[in-house]
Amino acid sequence: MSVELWVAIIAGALALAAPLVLAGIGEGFVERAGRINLGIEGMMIMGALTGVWAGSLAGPLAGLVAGLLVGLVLAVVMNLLVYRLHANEIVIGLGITMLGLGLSTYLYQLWVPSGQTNVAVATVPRVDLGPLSELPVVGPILFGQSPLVYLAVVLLVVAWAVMRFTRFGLAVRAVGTDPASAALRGVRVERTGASALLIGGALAGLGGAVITVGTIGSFTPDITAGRGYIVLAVVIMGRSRPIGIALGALLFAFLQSFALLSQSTSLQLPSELYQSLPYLVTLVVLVITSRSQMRRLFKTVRPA
Amino acid sequence: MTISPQEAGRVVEARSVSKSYGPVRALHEVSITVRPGAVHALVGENGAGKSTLAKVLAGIEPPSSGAISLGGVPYVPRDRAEAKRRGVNMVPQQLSLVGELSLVENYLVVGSRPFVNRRSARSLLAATLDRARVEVDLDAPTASLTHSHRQLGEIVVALAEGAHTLILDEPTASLGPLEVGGLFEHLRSLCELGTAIVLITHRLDEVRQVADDLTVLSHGLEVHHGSATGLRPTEIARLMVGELPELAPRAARTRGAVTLRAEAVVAQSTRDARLDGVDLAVHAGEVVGLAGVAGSGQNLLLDVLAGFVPPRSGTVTLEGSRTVTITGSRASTAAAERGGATASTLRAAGLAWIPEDRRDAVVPTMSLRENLAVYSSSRGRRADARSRPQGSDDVSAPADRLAAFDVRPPRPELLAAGLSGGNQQKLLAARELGAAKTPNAVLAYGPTQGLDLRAAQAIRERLVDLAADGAAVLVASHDLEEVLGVADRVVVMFGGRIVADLPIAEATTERLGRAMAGLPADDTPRPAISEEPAP
Repeated sequence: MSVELWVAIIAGALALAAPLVLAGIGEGFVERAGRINLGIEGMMIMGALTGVWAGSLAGPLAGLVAGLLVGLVLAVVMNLLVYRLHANEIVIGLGITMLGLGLSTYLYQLWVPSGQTNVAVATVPRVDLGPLSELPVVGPILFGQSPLVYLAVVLLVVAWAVMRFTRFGLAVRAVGTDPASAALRGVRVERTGASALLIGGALAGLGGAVITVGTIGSFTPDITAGRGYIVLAVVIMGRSRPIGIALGALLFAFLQSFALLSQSTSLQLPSELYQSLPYLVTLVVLVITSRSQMRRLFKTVRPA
Repeated sequence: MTISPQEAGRVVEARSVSKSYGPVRALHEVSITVRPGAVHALVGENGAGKSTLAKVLAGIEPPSSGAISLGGVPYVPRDRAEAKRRGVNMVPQQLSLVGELSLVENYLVVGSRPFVNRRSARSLLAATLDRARVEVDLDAPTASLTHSHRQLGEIVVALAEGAHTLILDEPTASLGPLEVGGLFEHLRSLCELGTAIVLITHRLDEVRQVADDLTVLSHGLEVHHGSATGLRPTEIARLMVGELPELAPRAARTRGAVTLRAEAVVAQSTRDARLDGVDLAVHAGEVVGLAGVAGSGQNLLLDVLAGFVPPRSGTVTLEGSRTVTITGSRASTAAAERGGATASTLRAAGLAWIPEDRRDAVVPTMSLRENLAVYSSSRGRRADARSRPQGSDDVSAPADRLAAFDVRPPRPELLAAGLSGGNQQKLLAARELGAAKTPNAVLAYGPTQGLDLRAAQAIRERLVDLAADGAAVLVASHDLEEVLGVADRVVVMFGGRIVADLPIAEATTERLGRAMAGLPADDTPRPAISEEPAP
């Protein structure tokens, strides 16, 4: 394959990775606080729909904000149900996912009945980086991206700094690994966990909006296509660390981008194989990394 | 002793503090003065109110009544954080360090400002380490430190948080003698710097070693408050145990052959003192009481006798319908898997077992009938818990059995989870002690815990009746009165050994108190072993 095609695949991978990274950063906080949010898929698709709706009214920036807010609201609901009313975390998470998938389709049907043309909105405009984006190879990959890719990178750094330099970051680690001691120390366990979940929800909603308002410019039912679950896999692969999440998201996005673009070239393999490749590889990597994590876990558990 | 004005501002003074949990009175009109630069020992039996008083002082529990002042100013902490700000800090027994975080991070994790400055925190802690003459790794995850280092680390963190009054809840409970000596040296050097230390303990030799002041609690009442130096350990032991009630006369029973025997048992668990060659024989027809302060090895001994913990070495023998022997060896688990003696074979040979925690024995999701039937496999190899007993004389009608033990409500179809704690205890007693066939041996840890006086009395009578019918009964408890109420003979454990074996007539308060505190039986001065750590 030509260099141009590889450049296009890698540049596309970065764009596809952005929503995964954003939602993954949030879920990283949630999991380091000892919780899990299985509602990511639902929060993302509601963010995607709301993003288009708000984007059609007030522009792409409003779309992103609206997506973020919807994710936040769903996380508030989840926190209330699970940590105040003590419903099951797994069941409520899956419930939010199912609700999001169904409700987004229903609302979209109300807004745009079948047969009508799809509503298209303006996407977030690219910033012109001038001569930088005209550099060969690195130009289109690094400097021709949507601002949302740069936002994802910035938030990765911010997430790392929050875990490293803030009291909240320490509290999240404390609550996630040893809530009983943390409570005795005086850490507010409930509040720390709730804050992490709200961050996770907001970033999942933002990630959903980035899919629609960021690149595609329109909504279709089931547009997230299981990315919420991929985010969960990526966070587990990346051990909830920002850098690990970024690498996991890039791996998945690269394979997805490869699958999309290599359909145009003839390798004489069925396109279904390409499309399932990202998921297959994610599964394999997940198994491998979990095994090594498990081994490490058993090592620390064994008495010295 | 003269106190500087600066130090006078840090005297913690509690006046007539009471604390009740519902109808249970944990503390009654206790007054205590904690002065800077001194170690104040707070001693008492389990349940005497030591931890409650500590929690009240540290702001974890509000007092029900009474007043506390700090340097003459009223001190009413709303929570632990406020007590910390006022300089009163507590190191709980299980410690409060988060294992994945280092000491520096544990210090930083609570606070008001959003950002943390590791460098300044580290230098503050390092300076505190120097001041207290302690060397602990500040940057390793605390889970990787030894227990004594974690403890010192937590003390250092508390000092860095500005504590001038430190409450240590049984800091020596899980330390070896050398580590205890080291800890006490550090405490003394802290005192020289003006820190006040409240040391909760039930080891009287420690009082002699480090304490300046002493408060003794017994059943929530303060029985001594003053200098620690004027009191002999015997007197402290007597104060701690309290005056025991006159014993009720008991019917003479014939003591038969040995039914339950432990020989040179060595065993280890993380929750209790290591058993170090324990010999014990319980005869048919006698009730043996097993006393000792918490962590002296009595939990582990009962677990070994019941077949739950395999001994490292030594043997346990139960003479029943057949003789069951557990022999300790490294391969004992494997032996058990090959069909050797385990808890279930001991049960089949006629052992009844009331564990300390009833949650280990009552299945909340089963009905009362199922709970009664669940272990009664002595007859028939597989007793189906769900089938109704058909004319079997082993399982008397469940409703009658529940009524006989006053389980309320006595309805076999109810789930055990619906019963109150006390009634679950009665259900457990009904299962273990209520079978038509007299067990060969009975092990009971705190069998009357959570029961009112009448119900407790009924269980005691049942235990004595079983002994009269030929069972060998071993009753252990933190509560001396519970043991003395039924026992013909009292065995006292301390540090994983049996240190006294007294017929009930000779089990005076003083002798029991001394034995429980690990003091020699006579009043001769103690050899200087405990004064300095062994080489």
